[in-house]
Amino acid sequence: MSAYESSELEAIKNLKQIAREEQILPGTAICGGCGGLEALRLAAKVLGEKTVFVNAAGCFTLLAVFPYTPLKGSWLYTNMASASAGAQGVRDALDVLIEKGKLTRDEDVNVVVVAGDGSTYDMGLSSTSAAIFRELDFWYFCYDNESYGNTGVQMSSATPYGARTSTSAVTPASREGTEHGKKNLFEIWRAHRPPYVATVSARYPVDLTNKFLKAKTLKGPKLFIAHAPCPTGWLYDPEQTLSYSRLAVDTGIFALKEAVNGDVTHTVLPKRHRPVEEYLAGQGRYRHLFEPERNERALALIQEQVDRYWEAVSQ
Amino acid sequence: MAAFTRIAREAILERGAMEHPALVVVADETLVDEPASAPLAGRRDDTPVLLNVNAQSARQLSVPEPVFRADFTAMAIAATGRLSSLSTALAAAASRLSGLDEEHCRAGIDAELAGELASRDELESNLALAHDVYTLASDWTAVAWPDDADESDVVEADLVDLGLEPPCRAAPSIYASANSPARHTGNWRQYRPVLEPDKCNRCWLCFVWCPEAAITLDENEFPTVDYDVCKGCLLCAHECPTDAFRVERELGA
Ligand SMILES: Cc1ncc(C[n+]2csc(CCOP(=O)(O)OP(=O)(O)O)c2C)c(N)n1
Ligand code: SF4
Ligand code: SF4
Ligand code: SF4
Ligand SMILES: [Mg+2]
Repeated sequence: MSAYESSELEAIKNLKQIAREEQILPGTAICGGCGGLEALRLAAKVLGEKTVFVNAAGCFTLLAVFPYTPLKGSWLYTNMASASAGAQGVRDALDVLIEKGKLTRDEDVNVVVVAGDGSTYDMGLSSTSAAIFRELDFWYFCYDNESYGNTGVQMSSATPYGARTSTSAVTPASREGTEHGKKNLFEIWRAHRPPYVATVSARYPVDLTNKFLKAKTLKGPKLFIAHAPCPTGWLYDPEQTLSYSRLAVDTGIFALKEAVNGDVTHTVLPKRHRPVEEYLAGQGRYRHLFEPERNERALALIQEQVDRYWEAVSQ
Repeated sequence: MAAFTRIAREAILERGAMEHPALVVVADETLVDEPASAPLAGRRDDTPVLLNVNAQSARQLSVPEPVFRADFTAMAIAATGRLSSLSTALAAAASRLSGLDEEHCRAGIDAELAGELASRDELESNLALAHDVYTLASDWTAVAWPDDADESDVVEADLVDLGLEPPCRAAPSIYASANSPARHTGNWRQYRPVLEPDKCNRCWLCFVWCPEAAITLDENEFPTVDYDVCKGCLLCAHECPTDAFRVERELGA
């Protein structure tokens, strides 16, 4: 039972209202300081024990490996392209069992896809699009570590411009590393008109918690993109995970927002954004933009894109 | 071997698991007794083992001779200030044991790290670390490269052979619930966060942000770290607004 069930769905106001009970226990093979796990752990506290996670292959597949599971609830492993199809199967089965009286409404569970960006932005986009189209009553949690992390940090369509990965190396011909910009997943999902789309960051645990609480009141596809700093892939020391969560929001690179039935609200609006360089500079994946000499063009481009985004927001 | 590097004078034309290593490097002594890692599996009677030990730890390990022990972690931290240069220290020790002279080792470190490190200074401190290791290891005898065809002296490892199973058996269902804390990831720790309660203002931040759920709050809302599972990422110590966590080198996880 989640601690949030008694105070049913009231937004929390401060950190100390976050549930003390854990839903994802320690002892897994996930890297120390994993930003994605930090966000998922907070989300799971709201989702509670009556949850089945439907996982697409990725780092978090290592959460539940025989004979161990960190979960009080359930877990279903699917493949990279079809976690949402898996969620459809589970949801349909639950509905049929409830209709036949073999499960009581009380025994119903949240069906929650947990998938990385490679699966979410690339391989599984089609099955997710279909699930949203069918108005499937499910949750989707994408921990966005901006690469195919589990297989050695290859570029995905969520890898930002200027980041180095093992398949977007820095070479004399390509000084930026990744040359393309990140797909705008929030807008891709929003264009499907699901009841809820949100971005979340462990930077603001109360905002994260409240978005999950709000989504509990909505039936249909509920989608979350979690900023997921990754010490292993982004090349920084694990203790700095929160620093990069903080800087991503404070520089405006990661916008915290939600769309309820399509209407977008920014839930955290910093008065003044810090320069993007503060976010980029310490991460090994961006080091080539600073050393051996500064790539002024690339740095200016990243700043411009962020500025343009927030100008559009303030209009 | 879970992770390995092949080194040979001639072209390496094979891939896949390494069955009989000529040299075993154990970067973390706590893995020696871990059945899941079994770093000593497949060694021969006389295969040298390079073992990174914690000089201050009282742990007794039974690793058969020939074994070369040193606290490479302490050497790395002393030379470069960074734990990650443990790789440099171990690479230098392994080169020394393989019979490479120091110049070649330096060239290798230069080629490998030049693109990775932020500054020439960092590279220099890594080269100095390699030199420290070569000095320490000056009287070590180099590895005698065994003839791969001869497997008569391979030490049988006490392992269960899993073989190839159909997916339903190879990836069985888990019927237990929340049993992962039985796996003690505490031995991942290089550093230990230790709470100094009188500095703690009970703000909950470390509890909220520990990715592992390794911190619980007691009845007075003081955080308690579960050292059986804490991975030592030090996020808690880094984020604590009052610096209530002292950070100590891990001695006995
Ligand atoms: C169809 C398919 N292609 C490739 C793989 C190999 N694979 C396993 S995990 C992974 C990376 C997934 O990246 P992402 O979804 O971003 O999750 P992350 O590993 O970053 O957590 C890949 C490519 C696979 N399992 N299935
Ligand atoms: S590689 Fe990154 S995302 Fe994957 S488990 Fe490690 S820290 Fe987390
Ligand atoms: S973050 Fe620091 S001050 Fe806050 S509860 Fe933890 S130890 Fe105490
Ligand atoms: S070091 Fe990391 S895993 Fe250990 S208690 Fe602190 S935040 Fe949690
Ligand atoms: Mg990823």
